[in-house]
Parts: sequence; C-alpha cells; structure tokens
Amino acid sequence: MNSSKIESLAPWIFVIALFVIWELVCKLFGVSTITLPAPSDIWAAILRYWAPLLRNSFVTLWTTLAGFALAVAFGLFLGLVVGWSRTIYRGLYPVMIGFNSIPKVAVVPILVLWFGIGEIPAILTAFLISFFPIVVNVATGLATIEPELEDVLRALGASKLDVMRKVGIPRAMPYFFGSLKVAITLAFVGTVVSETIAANAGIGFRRSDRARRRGHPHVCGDRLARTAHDRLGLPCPGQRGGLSRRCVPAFPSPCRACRKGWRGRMERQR
Amino acid sequence: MISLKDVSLAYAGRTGPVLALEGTTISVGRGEFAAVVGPSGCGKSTLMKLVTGLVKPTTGVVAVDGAPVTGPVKMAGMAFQNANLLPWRTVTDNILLPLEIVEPYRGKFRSHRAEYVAKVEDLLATVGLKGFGDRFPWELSGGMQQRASLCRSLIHEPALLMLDEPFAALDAFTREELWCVLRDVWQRLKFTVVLVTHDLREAVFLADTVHVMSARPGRIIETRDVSFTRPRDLEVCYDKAFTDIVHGLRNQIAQVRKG
Repeated sequence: MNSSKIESLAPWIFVIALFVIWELVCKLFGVSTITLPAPSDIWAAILRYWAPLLRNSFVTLWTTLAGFALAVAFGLFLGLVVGWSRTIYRGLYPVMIGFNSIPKVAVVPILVLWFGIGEIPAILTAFLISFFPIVVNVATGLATIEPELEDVLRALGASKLDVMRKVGIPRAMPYFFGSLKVAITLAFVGTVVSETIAANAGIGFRRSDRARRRGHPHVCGDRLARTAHDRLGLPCPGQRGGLSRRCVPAFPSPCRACRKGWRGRMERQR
Repeated sequence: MISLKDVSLAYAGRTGPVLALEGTTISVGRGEFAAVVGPSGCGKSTLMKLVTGLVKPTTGVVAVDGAPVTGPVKMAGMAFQNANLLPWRTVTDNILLPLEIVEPYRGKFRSHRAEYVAKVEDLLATVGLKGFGDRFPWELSGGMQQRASLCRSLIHEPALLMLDEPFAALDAFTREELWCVLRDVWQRLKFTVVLVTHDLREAVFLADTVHVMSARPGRIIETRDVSFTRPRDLEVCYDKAFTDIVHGLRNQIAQVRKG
C-alpha cells in the first residue's frame, strides 16, 4: 500500500482504533455501564432508540447549522470591521473578550426568558459561542498585513479598500477557514448546552430528559457527570446547593445530573 | 524632481517624542540616480516614507515634481529588502498588481489585460526571469523573488523608484548581478531613483550622487558626486578611484557612528 493511500485511510484507522481500545478497556477491566458504557452498549442503545434519537438529532443538526450560518455571516462582517482600523481593533477587542468570557450556560436562561423554550435559544447559543473565533481570526489576518507591502500599495495611491481587497481579504482567508473548523464544533456544543437547559427537542434535550427518567445506558455523558459528582464531590453546573444556592437564589431549575438534587425534587413532589 | 528643505520628523516614542530626522535638505534631479548611505537607524527608511508621502514631516517642506507632497504620491514604485510578493498570486499576477491600482491602467485593466501580460513578460526577460511568469513566488529563490519585486516596482513605468536596501538579503554574486540588471533598466528608462543602502560599493557603483547621513537624528552631512562614465562595468569596482571613494565614505560613516 502506498503512503498516499494510508494517508487517506488514516482518519478511519484512528477512529476504529479508538473504539477498539475503548471496548477492550471496558471489557477487560469489567467497567460497569454506569461508569463508562462500552461502544457496543452504546451501539445497542442507538439501535434500540434509533427513532427518537434520529428525530432529536435532526433538530440539533438544523439548529446547529442555523447558528453556525449566523456566526459565519456576522463573524466575517465583524472581523472585517475590527481588522479595518487600529482604533476599532483596540476599542472593540476588550469588549469582545469580556463578552466571550461570559459562560454561555448563564446566557441560556436569559435567552429562554426572551424567546421562550424552543429552537431559537439553541440557535442563538450556537451563534454566540461560535462567532468569536471567526472574528478573531479574520481580524488577525487583516491586521497582520506586512507594513512594507501596504507601503508599496499606498505609494501607488491605493485606498484602504484597495489594500483590503487585493491583500487583506485574500490573506485572511486561510485564517477564516481555519476558524470555521473551530466554530462548527463550538456551535454544536452551544446547541446541546441550550437544549440541555431548556428545549422540547434535540440531542441535549433527549440527554437530560432521559437522565431525569433514569436507567438508560445511552446517556453516557450524563452518567459520567453524575458519577463524578457523587464519588468525588465535584460541583455540578446548575446545582442548587451550597454556594450556588446562596449566590443564585432564583436559578430556575435544580441540578439534573445530581442524584441528590433529583431525588430531593422527586421527594418534594411526592 | 525631489526636494526636501529643512525637513524634520519626530514621532511619538515610548518615552516621549523621538527625532528621526532633523534639518534634512536634499535634492534629486529628474532622471538622477541618488543613493543614501548611513549607519543603521539613521532614518533612511523614514526619508523614503517622507518622499512618497506616506508620512508627513513635522517641519519643513517635501516637494516632488515641484508640488508639495501632502499625501501618497500615487505613482512611486517601491521595493524593499523583502520581496513581499503575494503567495496566492503567480509571478505575473504579482507584477500586474500595481496596474490594478494606478490610473490610467486601472480603468482599462480588464480590457487590456493581454497587453499588460505581454509587458510583464518583456520586463521579466529584462531581469532574467523569462518563462517564470506562471510560477508562484514560493517556487522561486530569494534572488528570483527580488527580481520579480523589482519588476513589480517598474511595471507602471514610474517616474520615481524608491529602493530600500533591495539587495541586502542576497548573496554577493546575485547582488552584483542585480546591480547590473538595475543599471541596465535605469539606463534604458531613465527614471529617478532613490536607493537606500548599507552597501557603499553598491551606492558608488550605481549612483550619480551619494548622500551620507549622520546617526540619529538623521541629517545629510555630505553629498558626493560619482562621475564614472556610464555605462559602468563591474570592473570599475576594482579601480583605484572607486575604492578611494568607498574608503572615504567608509571613514566618514565610522566617524558619525562614533560621534
């Protein structure tokens, strides 16, 4: 087999290897499905629940893509604006970094308050979380034009727009496409986070909904969080207890992953 | 063609204003080949930016073609130590770039493209890059990139060519070869050249007049005419008269560096 063929097969080989190792570790060390389900268990669950999973996946897919599309359009626009002038660059950067360091989980309840439960908060969360790398990359591409090259063009009478069109924008394109790879994964995270908190459909909703009803091995991530929480005493995001109860008294929902919180709520309901 | 009268330039540094140029007076005639030499950091590059109108003088007057310079001169060709070619454009497209910007070429660029490409090929042949038009810059050696950069600065037939140490990053043989290329192109087209350089032999070999600058803040402390007959051959570099001039300049710069 020649090297280019190996190179094109490499993604498959690595993915398959990952799953094989995962399966082997689970089986060899007798890891329980609660701690970490083996790929075969997950596959079985996918087969069993394929209809709702597919339905919810579709919702997540289109909300992710919608949020991503918004992020690309807005990110490209803002990146061009920010990269255009040093004044805007310096003025807007701290604002954007400040905004981007707000945990998006905290924004979701506000979005729900504004737009109600459904797809719109998910789209907006996906957008909010994924536009930032696009802006930064496009702006960096524009702001790092070689000063000498800019001098060459300006001595010819080129306007700022000329410099951008001939040099800046083509130069920023590799940065832009690089940032898309980061942005699409972030958009997915954003959608799922939003759906986990408040939605009627989607992967995140399915995950938290199943977790609420307990006992299904395919909500593996949720299990992981719960186990970590119980065994190691790690804090759970959104948990109403300790510090968060004192600091965020009006936080609307109790922790879904926390067994005690969950039990407590069930008991209160009884 | 170019005249600077008592020009100073200060810019805001970290610890207050820094004086880059002070009371510089210089004049370069039409079609003249002028070289500016001096210790590093003496404001030679600042001088280039002043002449092309990229920066405004703090005091004094810069005039090009009899008119005071208030903004970018819109016609000067420039080349630097780095070739600065655009990696996503072929050599031909890189050299065409000025024609996409400068009037009157800009307005008729699309309709006259074939004619301009022919012009690029002529120019490439002059600098010894015949047949390399379809290559990308990263496929060329440093010397070849510099040749292409020279073509880019000449394609719009500028009346003024500004060169900021264009051959500094090349090996000695390539450098001497490009001196001859520049010499021949200049002899043919007779534009005005300002060449900023560290290399005294380069300055004396190519230029009609050599201006010596002092250390920062930069001033012109001496202007020396070089009157070897043209066209000059590389052999002239080994003449006694040539080495005497270079030696004299060398001593002068050593003095300003100390002082």
